[in-house]
Amino acid sequence: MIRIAVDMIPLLPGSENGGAKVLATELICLLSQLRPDWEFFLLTNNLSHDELTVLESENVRRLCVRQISPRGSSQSSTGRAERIRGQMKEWLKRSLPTPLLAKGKTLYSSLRSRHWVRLGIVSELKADLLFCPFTLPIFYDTAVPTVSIIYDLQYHYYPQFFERRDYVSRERNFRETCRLADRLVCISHFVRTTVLNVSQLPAHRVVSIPISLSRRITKPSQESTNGALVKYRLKENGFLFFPANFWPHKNHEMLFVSFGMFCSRHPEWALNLVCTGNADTRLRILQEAVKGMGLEERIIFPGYLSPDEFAALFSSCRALIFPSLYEGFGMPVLEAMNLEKPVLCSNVTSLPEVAGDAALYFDPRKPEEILRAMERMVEDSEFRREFIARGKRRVELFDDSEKMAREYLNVFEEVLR
Amino acid sequence: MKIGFDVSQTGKMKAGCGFFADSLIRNLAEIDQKNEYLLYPTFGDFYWDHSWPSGARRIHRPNFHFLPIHKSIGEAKYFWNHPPADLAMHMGNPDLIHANNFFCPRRLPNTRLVYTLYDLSFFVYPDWTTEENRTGCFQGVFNASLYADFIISISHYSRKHFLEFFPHYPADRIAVIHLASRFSEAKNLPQPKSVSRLSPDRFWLNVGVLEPRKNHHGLLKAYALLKQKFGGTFPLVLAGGKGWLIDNFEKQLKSLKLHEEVITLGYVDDETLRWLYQNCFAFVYPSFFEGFGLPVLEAMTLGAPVIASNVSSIPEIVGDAGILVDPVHEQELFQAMRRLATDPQYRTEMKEKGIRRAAHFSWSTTASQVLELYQEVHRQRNVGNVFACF
Repeated sequence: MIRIAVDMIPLLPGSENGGAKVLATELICLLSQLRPDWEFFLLTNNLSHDELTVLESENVRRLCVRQISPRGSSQSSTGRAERIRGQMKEWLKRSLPTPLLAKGKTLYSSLRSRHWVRLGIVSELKADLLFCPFTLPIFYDTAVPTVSIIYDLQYHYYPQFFERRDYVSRERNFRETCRLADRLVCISHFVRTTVLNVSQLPAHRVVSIPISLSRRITKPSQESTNGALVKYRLKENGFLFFPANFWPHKNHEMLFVSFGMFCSRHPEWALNLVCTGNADTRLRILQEAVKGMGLEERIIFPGYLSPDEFAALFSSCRALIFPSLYEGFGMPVLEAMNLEKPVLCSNVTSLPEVAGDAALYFDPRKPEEILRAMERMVEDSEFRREFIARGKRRVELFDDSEKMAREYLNVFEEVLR
Repeated sequence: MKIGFDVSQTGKMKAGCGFFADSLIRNLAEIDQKNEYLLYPTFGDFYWDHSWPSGARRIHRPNFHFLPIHKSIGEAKYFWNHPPADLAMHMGNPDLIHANNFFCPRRLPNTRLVYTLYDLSFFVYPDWTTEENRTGCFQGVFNASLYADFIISISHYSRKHFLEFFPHYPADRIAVIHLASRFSEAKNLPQPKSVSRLSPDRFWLNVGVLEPRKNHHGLLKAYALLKQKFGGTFPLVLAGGKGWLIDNFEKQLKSLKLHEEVITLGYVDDETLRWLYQNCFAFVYPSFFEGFGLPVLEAMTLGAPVIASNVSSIPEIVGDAGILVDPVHEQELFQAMRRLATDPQYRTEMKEKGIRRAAHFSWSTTASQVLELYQEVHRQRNVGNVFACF
């Protein structure tokens, strides 16, 4: 019997993991169904351990191996020595040149990982393979092959969007993964190309398996849709929808500039823009910006929505707008197509590969192009219908999740041989 | 009044932003002994001069202070991403801050903010800069549209362009204050050694960083046409540091077989530049996009006949004192160069017109307009501003 250790420790409650969470959970479901003769051990943290109960079955078990404290609750009872150490670390982080810092961190973590609590878990479990859906193989064991998923290398192309510590840890995670994993599975061909460019790894160690999902968001009942529309004071078909956390590469500010131009040129259309996403500091900054632009009636931030409300709003929008500067895949594009919503999106990174001929593209750096795309999609209903039809055809190419899971199994079997 | 003034780009290798800040602060120092000035050698989190602190402009007067805030770009990024509660104190508690390098802080309590707007080329031609520079410039201008109490636009063109993209910004809070040439009168200097191989009045001149926006491609094509039609012409001198995407330029030089006639000088010092302007046969500037077009004005000041493109802000600087051409068509540029080369009278006329036109722009006027504006913005501090609603 083959035993697979799956590292789910980075998984957190809520939507902080973005699309990675959806993919990881769906994959475990499918893999365990496809290979009932294999055993899967999910290594979890205390915060999301319970949430993962749903994945348990005959051949899937959970093991809580890591205690982490919820965000914002730490550091209240740290001693003086601890504080000074923290300040020293902060100071080092700020003043050392980034490449040096990255090297130092790699060294530090490789030293430290030898003493990691239950580091030998892979051999304890007698696992045959370590699967890391969240990239970094923390539990790497020389005796066992390792497969990691790579989502994107945004940090490399847009370092300015990362705090130094994030940049450094992403750089370290990627380099460590390149060094340790036997196979790096990329979520799109675009990501594979960038991984090969940045890492110089031999081509056979980097594979791409585009994300396919069979379960997608569906339109909820008319009643709950109406409820959500009333709650957020929106009209059916009266708003553009932009689901994304408030990360800089999602390019909210540029969209607001275009939307502001749209509103000043077409006040008669009374179009709204809905931006969902986790409430954080960036959201407060963006809300302040929207107020300063005089668009607070037009741009709505409902925060992180429950799956029901999310589906209700998504399925009532006029179109999806997705001005992101960098994506590894771009799941919302396919969700929109499945909901029969026209898609307006950026023409960069993985998006053309996913959306094909079924999206109205624009350069996300040119507000006038975004504006023209919005005008076109709002004015021209024939055009809208055309894109909806194309979208329906397009999304079918990405709905065979079993095929995707089989491709993962092929990769596993290859390294197990 | 205590004025915080960003001199972050006034180091040795300065370009547009740096020249503006440098000339402005020196001229403010001439006319203002009353107000206190705090010069910031570093400002914001995306531009960093590695020659700091020796580079930035210092002014040795009792009412001028030099206020180094950060020692490394990492420190600066951290500071602006997590602004401390006593931010204003770190900045020396100014009554007003004047930002000159595209960066715009979000909000400073009890401090009025004046922002210099150069251009919005990154909205139109994003490929002509790096993504790091583009995102930094965009964030700065976007913040300015929300938090600047007053915007100084260096041209009517930039002002109009800005209001198209940011219709929410009150149009009465953005004024045009033109730049001027830093080369005042035409004193004659000996020929610098570095350009000893050039003969006066026997070379074409172009000044500007070698980057796609400056359209060196078009210039080379027109120049090649000229060489072909005349069987030879004066050399073409390019003065300016190497920017991005420079490989294509070298390739084109080779394919047009121009490496003998085209002389690239790299970044030149002011004395050399002055000599070049004064002694060129004509100044040729087919740029695709400018916020102002300072080299054109400098050339006119020093009596160089000007051929420039008819786009963005350039026509409002040149007026009728130069030949304006469509930069997309090298044929037009070629015709203009040919006309100058074959019609000496026309060339003299252009030279004189240029000098007269340039006299309308002066740094002392610009500096006193800016000072007046500071006082006005300071006076209105209790009236509130665009974000008074928060």
